[in-house]
Amino acid sequence: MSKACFDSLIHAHNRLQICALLHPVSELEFSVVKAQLEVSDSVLSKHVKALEQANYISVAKRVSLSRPRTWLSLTELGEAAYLGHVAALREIVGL
Amino acid sequence: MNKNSNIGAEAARASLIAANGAKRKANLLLRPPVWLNVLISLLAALATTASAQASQSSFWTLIAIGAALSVIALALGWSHYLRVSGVKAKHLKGVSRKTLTTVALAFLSAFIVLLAVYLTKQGIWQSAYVAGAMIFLFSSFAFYKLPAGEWLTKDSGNE
Repeated sequence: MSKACFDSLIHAHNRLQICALLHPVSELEFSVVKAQLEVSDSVLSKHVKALEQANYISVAKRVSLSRPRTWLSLTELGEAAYLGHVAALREIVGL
Repeated sequence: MNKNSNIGAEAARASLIAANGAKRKANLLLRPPVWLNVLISLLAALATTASAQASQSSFWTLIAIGAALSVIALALGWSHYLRVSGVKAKHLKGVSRKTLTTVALAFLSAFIVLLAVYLTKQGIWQSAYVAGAMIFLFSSFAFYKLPAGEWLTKDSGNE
């Protein structure tokens, strides 16, 4: 169980969902995250940038089948912060 | 970065529900479609039944090898499809609940197969078919409820 630590950076609705989406998988493509969150490119880019600057997610641009693709993944720091934040939320709720 | 919380229980509950909903969506991305689930499970069941009967004829050995290779090919195909679709599944690393669940399921499946082989050699031929049915149920259940190695709940709320 992770140590409970509320993180205001992750707490923003879309950023929390980005971390939750990336947690069970190794990597997700930008377009998949965008489709799951039902947000625009610019909105997702803004949140991804904020999380990337905090070193919570890593962004990798790779060419696959002659198509440039952007892959997002949760870093170890990001995973610890996300799990700590979820633990803090559970503490607040009293679970 | 502000690490202090000043939110109420209701806001925290809403955030937890949103996070669990997103996590569930990610897990659902990894779940194979029902037809593929049934096909892989049927082939795994066939491989089990044929393996148990394999000591009695080379025909069953051929079926066992063919079914096992088909299961591997379908699983790799699904993994490739996921990558092309923009989803990369997590590899097992370290001791986690996901690793333990996967290892436990693998050991249980292996135990069922070995037990069926042993019992069939003892003359209880029905055990090969019972083991095949059990592997079908285990496999289809695991693909449906544990696509990412974690239990997938119907409710995305307070897990």
